[in-house]
Amino acid sequence: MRPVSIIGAGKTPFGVFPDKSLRDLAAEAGSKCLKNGSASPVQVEAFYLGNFAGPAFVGQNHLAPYVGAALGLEGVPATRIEAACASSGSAFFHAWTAVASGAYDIVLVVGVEKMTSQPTARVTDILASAGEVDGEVRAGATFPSLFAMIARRHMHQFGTRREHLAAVAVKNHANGAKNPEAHMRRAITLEQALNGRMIADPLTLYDCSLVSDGAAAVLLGPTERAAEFSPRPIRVLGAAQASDRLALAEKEDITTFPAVRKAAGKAFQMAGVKPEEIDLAELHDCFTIAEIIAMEDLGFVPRGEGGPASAAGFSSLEGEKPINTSGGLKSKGHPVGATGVGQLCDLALQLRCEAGERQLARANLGLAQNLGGSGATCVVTILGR
Amino acid sequence: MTIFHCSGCGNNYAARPGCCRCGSQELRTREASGRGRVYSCTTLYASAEPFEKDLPFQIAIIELEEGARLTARIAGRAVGIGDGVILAEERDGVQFFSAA
Repeated sequence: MRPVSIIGAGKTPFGVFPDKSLRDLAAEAGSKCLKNGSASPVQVEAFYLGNFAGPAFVGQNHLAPYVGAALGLEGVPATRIEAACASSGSAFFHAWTAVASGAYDIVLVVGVEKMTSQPTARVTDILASAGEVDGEVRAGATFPSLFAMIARRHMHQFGTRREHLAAVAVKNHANGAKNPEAHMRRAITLEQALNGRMIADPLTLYDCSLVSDGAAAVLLGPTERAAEFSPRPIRVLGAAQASDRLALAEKEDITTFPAVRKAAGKAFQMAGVKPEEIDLAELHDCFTIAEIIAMEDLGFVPRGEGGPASAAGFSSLEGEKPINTSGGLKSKGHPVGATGVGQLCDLALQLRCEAGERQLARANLGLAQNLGGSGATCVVTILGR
Repeated sequence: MTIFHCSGCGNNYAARPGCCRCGSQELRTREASGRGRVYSCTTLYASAEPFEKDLPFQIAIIELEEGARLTARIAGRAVGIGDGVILAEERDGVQFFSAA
C-alpha cells in the first residue's frame, strides 16, 4: 500500500435548499473540490458516490453515472456506495483502497443527500430502513428510539445523566454558530436542551441531529503526486472500515460499538498514533449519546466517562480534545450520505488553518468517525498535514 | 412463542436466517416460554408514518429466558430496565409484551 493524500476538498453549505436537486448539490460540491485541487474532470480516473437513500428521497436510482456525467467525468468507473449514514465514509474508504493499492492515481469521492423535500414522518420512515426492517422496524422502532434505548442503558450502567447529553448539544450548537456553512447557526442553553420536546425518552429534539440537504467531496491521489495539485495536501495516515450485526437487539452490549473499536484500532495502528495524540475529531453525533459513546470507543476517555467529560468541557473548542468544531451533525446538519466526506472536509479546513472563527491553535492530527445505522458500519479516518 | 436454536453453537435467536455467532445455517425452531426481562426501553412521541396512530407507545429490547433478544412493543403499563415481562400477544409479526 502506498501513501495517499487528499489533494482537493469542497462542499456545499448544509441546510434546506428547495431550489437545488440532488444532482445540483453533488455537482456543486464535486466541482468546488476539483477547483480546490486544481484538477480537471479528465484527470479523474474513478468516481465513488456515497448516498444512502436517493431512490427513496428523490426517486432516482443509478446515481453514480447520473452525478458523474454532470461533473464531466466521461467513461470512468462510477460506483455508488450505500452504508446508511456511513455511505460516504465508506465511499471514501473504498476510493482510498483503490489509490493506495495503485489501481488508480486520481479518484473523486462525493457524498450527497437530498432529504428536505419529504415530510418528517416520511423521512423517519426512510431513515428507519437502515435498521432491520423485518424485526425492530416492524415493531415500530425509529432511529431516535434505538439511540434512546442505547442512552437509557448507558445511563443505567454508568450513571450518565440527561445533563451530560444536553452538554453535547450545547457545545455543538456553540460551534455550529461559528460555522458559516452550518444548517442551524444558533447557540442554545442547557435549559433549552433539557426542556426540548420529547422525541423518544430520554432524547429530546435537541439530542437529535438535523434533517438536511447537502453534499461534500474530496479528491484523492498518491502522496508523491500531491504537490502537482495542491499547495496544502492532507495526508491520509490511517483509514479503516468495520461492520457489526444490523439489529440493535442482537448486540451483546449496546453501550459500546464493536465496529467503532475495530475500525479505530486498525486506523490508529496504520497511522502509528495514539488516541491522546489526536488534536481534534469530527465524531458521528447523530444523537448526543452517540458522541459520548464514540469518545469512549475511540479511547479519548475511559468507558462510562464520556458524559461527565462532555459536561466538564473536555471536548469544547477550548478543551483538551475539541470534538465537532464544525458543529457536528447536530448543528452543522446531517445530510446522511454527505456526512462522512463532510467530516473530512471540515478536518481539512482545520488542518489547513482555514476554519475562521473556530480555528484551533493546534491542528496537526485529526480523526473522523462515521457511523452507519445503530453501529453496523463504522469508518475511522486519521488525517495529518 | 417460537424461537430459533442454532445446532452449530447452541445459541437462541428471536428471528434469524443464519447464526450471527458461528455462521451456521442450521437453525431449528423451538418453543420459548414467552418470559423475559427488559434490557432497555423507550417511549416514542414521534414515529415513522405507519405507527403515528399509536403514539405515544413504548418499545423495549427484551432478553428472553432462553437468551434470545428481540425488539418488541410493550402493552399496558410502562416498564423499566430489569422488569420481568411476558408475551401478551403477537399481531402482524410483532410481539407485544406486558409487565409480568
